[in-house]
Amino acid sequence: MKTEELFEAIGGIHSETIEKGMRFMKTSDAKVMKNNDKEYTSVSSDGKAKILRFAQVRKIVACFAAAMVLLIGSTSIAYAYVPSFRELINAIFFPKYTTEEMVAIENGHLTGAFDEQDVLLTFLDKFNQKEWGNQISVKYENGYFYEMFCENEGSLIAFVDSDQNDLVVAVYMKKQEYGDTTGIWQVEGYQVLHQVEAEDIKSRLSVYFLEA
Amino acid sequence: MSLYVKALLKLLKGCGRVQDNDIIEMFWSRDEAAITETEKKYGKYCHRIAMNLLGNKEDADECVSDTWLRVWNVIPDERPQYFQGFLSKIIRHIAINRWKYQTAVKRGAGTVSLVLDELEECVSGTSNVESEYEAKELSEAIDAFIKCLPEKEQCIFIRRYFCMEPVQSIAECMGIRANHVSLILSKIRKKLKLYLQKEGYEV
Repeated sequence: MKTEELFEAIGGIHSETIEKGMRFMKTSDAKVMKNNDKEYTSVSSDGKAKILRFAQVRKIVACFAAAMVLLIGSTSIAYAYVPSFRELINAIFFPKYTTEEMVAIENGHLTGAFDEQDVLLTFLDKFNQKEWGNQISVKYENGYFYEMFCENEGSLIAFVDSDQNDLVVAVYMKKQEYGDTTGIWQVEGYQVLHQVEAEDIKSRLSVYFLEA
Repeated sequence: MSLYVKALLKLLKGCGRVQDNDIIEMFWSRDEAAITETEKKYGKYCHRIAMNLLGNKEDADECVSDTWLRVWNVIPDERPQYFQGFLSKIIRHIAINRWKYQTAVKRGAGTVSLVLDELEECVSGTSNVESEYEAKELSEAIDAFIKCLPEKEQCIFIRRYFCMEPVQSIAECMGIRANHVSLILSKIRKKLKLYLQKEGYEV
């Protein structure tokens, strides 16, 4: 058999087979491109290519989303479990006592700042205010339900029951040095945790006993 | 986002396009608008096949014009079920004839020589397809062979050996590398050789 015969025989295949083979080839709006000084119609914008490119874009978006979820997840876990990391984040995102507040403390006001429980309760009152935009609120029935745990000297975590049974609000508090006093307490941040996660953290901490 | 907008525009644009059956009906009723509609829908497609074969814009344009004339003359006798495939066969045939005429003067136009070199792997070089009937049988055998190939390989085979599309262009369209396309083509040629041997052809 000669090559030309085979070549011409390929030209005699059924129209259906040709159409099937050409299904991804564009018909009317194939882009004309210049390449090596030779003009030919390109198929780079064909349906198949678009589908592939779309799939590639989707892959990239999916990878990015997965990376973001991983980042947020690991940040969240690190925030809950690693005090030094939490301090770093707090130092960046959460404000310290404002100058006015410090002046007020200096002038003998805001005395509650010296009492960790007072600081916590003030925070929880604010937490339940709608303007904070929280999705959940802390449970209040003639008072809040919370347990305090000592993380290390000068820092504690209060686990406060929320209005949703399986969720707990962990409030991170730290004692700031202030003059000759024992220090002033400040809420550094909070995190909504699942009950199981909270129990796990609690098991690593020691119960904090409020000073009489 | 722009991809969705483009797809939507394409969809809207496609809504106004005349269907193949309508074009065929126009040909049957000898409505000259059939040629305009065919050109609008398949003009660039046919031009591309001719360009792949001949590598010259002017020649390709002439082949496309000849195709419309051929279709105009053929359709009242025939009612093609697969209009795009039907057009492909006509344009290919016309372009090959033109190529043959040209190669009588000079060799090497378009990618035909390259494709022939590639196909040489599958055959012996001695002629035994003597009658038109045998040639048709060979076409049937190749058709059956193509149908047995996986979808992707079918597409690559048709584009390379029917449309004579450059490997790079196939690769771009399929979203794979040119080397990969060449490898697939090489495998298909080996399969075709075995298949033709099995079918009793002297290859």
